[in-house]
Amino acid sequence: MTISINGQEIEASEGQSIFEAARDNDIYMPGICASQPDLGVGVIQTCDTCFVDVNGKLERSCSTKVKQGMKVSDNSDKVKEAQHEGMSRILENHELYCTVCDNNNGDCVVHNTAEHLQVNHQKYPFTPKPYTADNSHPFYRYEPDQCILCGLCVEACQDLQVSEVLSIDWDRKEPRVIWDNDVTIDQSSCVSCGHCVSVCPCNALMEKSMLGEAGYLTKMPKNILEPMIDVTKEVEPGYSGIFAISNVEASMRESRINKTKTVCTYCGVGCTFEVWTKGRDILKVQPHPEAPANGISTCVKGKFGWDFINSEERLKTPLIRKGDKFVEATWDEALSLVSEKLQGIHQQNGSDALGFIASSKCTNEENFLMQKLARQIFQTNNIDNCSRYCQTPASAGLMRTVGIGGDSGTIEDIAAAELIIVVGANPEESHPVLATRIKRAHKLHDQKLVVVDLRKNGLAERADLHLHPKPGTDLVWISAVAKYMIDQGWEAKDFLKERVNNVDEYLNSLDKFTLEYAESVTGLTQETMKKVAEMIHESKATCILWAMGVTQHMGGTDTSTSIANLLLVTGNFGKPGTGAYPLRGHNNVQGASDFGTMPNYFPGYEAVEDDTIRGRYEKAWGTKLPKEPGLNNHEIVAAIHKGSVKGVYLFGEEMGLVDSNINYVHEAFEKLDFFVVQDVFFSKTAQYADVVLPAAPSLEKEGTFTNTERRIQKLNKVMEPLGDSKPDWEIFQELANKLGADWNYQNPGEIMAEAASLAPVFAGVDYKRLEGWDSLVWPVDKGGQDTPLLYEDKFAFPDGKAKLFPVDWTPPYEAGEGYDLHLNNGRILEHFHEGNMTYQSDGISHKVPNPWLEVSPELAKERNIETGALVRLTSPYGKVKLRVWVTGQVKGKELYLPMNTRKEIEAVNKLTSSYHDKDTHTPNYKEMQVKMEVLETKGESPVVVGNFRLGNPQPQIGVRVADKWEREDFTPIPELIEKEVRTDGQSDTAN
Amino acid sequence: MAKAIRQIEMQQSTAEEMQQKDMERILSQIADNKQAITSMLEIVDQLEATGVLDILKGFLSAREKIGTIAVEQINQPNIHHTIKNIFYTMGFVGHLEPEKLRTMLESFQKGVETASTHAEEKEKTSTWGLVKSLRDPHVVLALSTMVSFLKGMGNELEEKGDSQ
Repeated sequence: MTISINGQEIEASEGQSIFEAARDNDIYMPGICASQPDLGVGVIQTCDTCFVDVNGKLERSCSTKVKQGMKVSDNSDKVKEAQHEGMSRILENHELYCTVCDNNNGDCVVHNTAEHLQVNHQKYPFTPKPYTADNSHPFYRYEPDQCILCGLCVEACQDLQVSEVLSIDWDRKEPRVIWDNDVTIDQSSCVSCGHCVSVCPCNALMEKSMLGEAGYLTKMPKNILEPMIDVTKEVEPGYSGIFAISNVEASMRESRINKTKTVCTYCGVGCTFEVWTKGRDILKVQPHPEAPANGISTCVKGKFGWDFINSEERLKTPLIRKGDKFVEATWDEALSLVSEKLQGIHQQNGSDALGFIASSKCTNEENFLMQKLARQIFQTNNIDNCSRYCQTPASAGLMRTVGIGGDSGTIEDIAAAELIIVVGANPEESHPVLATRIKRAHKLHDQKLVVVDLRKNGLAERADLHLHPKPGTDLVWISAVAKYMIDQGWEAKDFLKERVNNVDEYLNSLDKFTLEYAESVTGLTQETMKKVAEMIHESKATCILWAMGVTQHMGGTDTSTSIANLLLVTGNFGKPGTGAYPLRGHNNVQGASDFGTMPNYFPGYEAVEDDTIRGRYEKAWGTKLPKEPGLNNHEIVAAIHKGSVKGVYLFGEEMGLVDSNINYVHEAFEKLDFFVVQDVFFSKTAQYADVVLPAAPSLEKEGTFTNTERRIQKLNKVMEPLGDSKPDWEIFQELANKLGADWNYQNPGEIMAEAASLAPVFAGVDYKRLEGWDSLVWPVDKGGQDTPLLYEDKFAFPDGKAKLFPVDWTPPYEAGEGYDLHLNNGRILEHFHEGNMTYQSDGISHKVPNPWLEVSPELAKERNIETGALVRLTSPYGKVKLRVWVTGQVKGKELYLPMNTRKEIEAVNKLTSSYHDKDTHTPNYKEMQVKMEVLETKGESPVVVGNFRLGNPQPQIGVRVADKWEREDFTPIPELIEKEVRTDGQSDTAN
Repeated sequence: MAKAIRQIEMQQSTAEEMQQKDMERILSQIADNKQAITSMLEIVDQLEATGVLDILKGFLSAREKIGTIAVEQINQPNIHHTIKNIFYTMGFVGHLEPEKLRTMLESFQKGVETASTHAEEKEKTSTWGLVKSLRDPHVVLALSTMVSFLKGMGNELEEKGDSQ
């Protein structure tokens, strides 16, 4: 449709607001809170600076939908007066001292709007509010005196992040933003995600790391600054002068503040954002509306968790074991030794006496190079990465059924689905930004949510249905639901006929999965399972999301397969809002496997055994390559014990804490003839090394990561590597060249070019297509066409049809007599993995200084303990000792122990076994029972003040602007203007 | 048989060796920028000789105190007036059209010259002479210009008075 703005005809689309239509046609309209369409939060209508004339009436451009032939103007005196009135009300709440403000970086919305409106004088004098600044939170502060009460922060917290902490109390004489039911920020249920700070259009909410650091004059002592602001206000000849000076200062800042786009390393969601730095100091992390996976969303780790980068504990030089200590060495000494030793083992004991363990935290290019190093130079396929610990079963289950081991669609499909089923995952803490999309859709857009988990976690609290099956029985209820749906005739008949093979064989395999049988195995009622079936039946688009609660079992691959089967039976593949979503845990779990650090696959999941494929690599690399698949992580450890693997090269993996049954793993490390560990920190694993090589973390290098969506995104170098540390790819290249390889990659882009030339699914991946916020979701064809939604036309099998794959239930491991409590384990929001990086942040450590053991109220009562009690857990494999947090999140005799610790005495993997998924060897972390011995019945709570779990959220929809409009001192601007009661400087209206 | 060990022997070259390294780096930088540094030293020499460095040193070491004093001094009503007046004057000058101002100023200059010649002549002007001079077209032009000026000024004064 067309509308006219100031006489200019423009194209607009149905459902758009005038503000959005103008923005899309590059027509600037003021609107401070109306920046929301870009931010992804709702229409707020608080700032009142966006009034325009619509067919002769004053309307808000942000909330007025376009209509064919609409005539809009914003240049009449009436409109100007209305906008000016709106801005004046804002400035009553906000003191303009731009040049000495840390937010004066050219992107301050309040500054820019006031400047655009040519506001020259304070119509209503600025009046301070009777509140002091809240500095209680370690990462950000709230300054009520600068707060314009636009409510963008509230909107972001309530309806985008959906933590529901912030609100504006419109009932007070002087409204302000409050946290929970008006407690200090630190004591609230704030999860520190940073949404509010990122969307604040001025300096009311700011990262503490910015304060006094961003500007040239902002560090000025208070006793000079305040009188200076007074002088400025007293003598100012109008704001235009202030704007001119502040614009000059803002441009000067550009010369010393660098803004570099990077990709977060704290989970598989793949948030991208700009890192603002001054030298090595990180001023802030600023997400951007154009970021494909996250938009303006972040979590506490991505927004604030980067202190480790300048940690004193960083490895800065190579170390060589000499006797019972490590000695610093030069790169030349260290790499010569590595090359000599690995070559020695290779020559004496053969290729397969070496094992290579790659990193799901490092880049695609680095993983590509390590598998090339193993295969080309050492002639072995003994290479694997840590997806073996988490998501290989999910990939395997999907490859069996639909052909590609990755998410079927993107985060947009998850947001668009009518029904989300989450099985054995806690995305609110493990994939926080992805979870926000579900919470938002559920809160505002009627999305239905089923959560299947032992714990009543955050998402389960919100869910329409929370299922709590017996541990390790998911395959049974999933299959029973599939059978029940087929019995009801609810299967997608045409879909099965046209697009799926093996239907009959699968149907026969379901015979045993009656609701009665499922009830007896899972403990779920038949009614509950029927209800799930009905919900799937009623939904036009269903996504199933799962993670370690499904995969880390002896039947992990089979359960993943059963999920894919259920989705196939119900036709939930290949359409927007449908599909299977194994949520990848680490930033590059997907990419590490994609780029070939697997014992049986070249990059792009092409089998090493296939002569044609192998021939392609042999030709490119000029050497014969081994045909037989190599050993995976698990088998490498076993082979060390057996004595057949003698040398291991490991990078970016804290295997000594995160592998299961770590006592057994430690013993293996001790048996190695030669062990190279390459890491950012001196990890537990590094303690067993013969040579430790200092690597550079993501912020210090270039490359790409692939997130859970299969989205390849580029990270750029934010700063130089610390000390003598080097990016992993440079280390591999130098080592390879010491071994005579003659590699000559000038930058990671050249490595990607080689991978793209060899692996057809990455054919069109090119750094030129990954600039700025651009990304590619593989498969990518040569022309650069990517594939956000898989299986629209065909499944990834030769005949294009999916395959139903019959599976049976594998009963979980039983620890035996006396081990009476089920041990569940996983992550918490604040820390990443073992915490080598996140415990380095004082702010995060203030919030969560240590892990805890979650005990149900029932069990606590039975054992006569309370929060703070000290207990020892014993499994057949080891012991740990922790303090207890009694919480209703866990039920009955089930315990939850977060994995995030660097101390062995608290490490869950002291308790786990070496049993594993029968198909992929992924450890069965989630199958263990323990005894609990009470050492102290009470003590100090391990969950400390400042932990969001102790807060008290206050859910509401948006900022409730209607409450503002109902205030007695509020006069709607059109009313004011129409009446033409112009009482310059006298009226005292609310804002 | 590698047991887990945690001890790392830092090559305690530390203090002296690091200083040595830093020195080497600085020396090579100096050598690279020989010309610039020599010039800079000469300037510093001059500053020292003229006592400027001394003043700067005192100023910098007391910067916070001085800043406070300075701002206090500035934060006074009469200084506010001065600064405001400067802004207003600047605004006033900025609003005048240069060509018109030039004409006026040149006329003014000529007027001054004529006046001073007259004063030097020390001739008494009779009342009649004064009246007669009103016939002089130059005098008429100057007077009517003056009257127009007064008219405009009065107009503005009236408007401002209304609005207050």
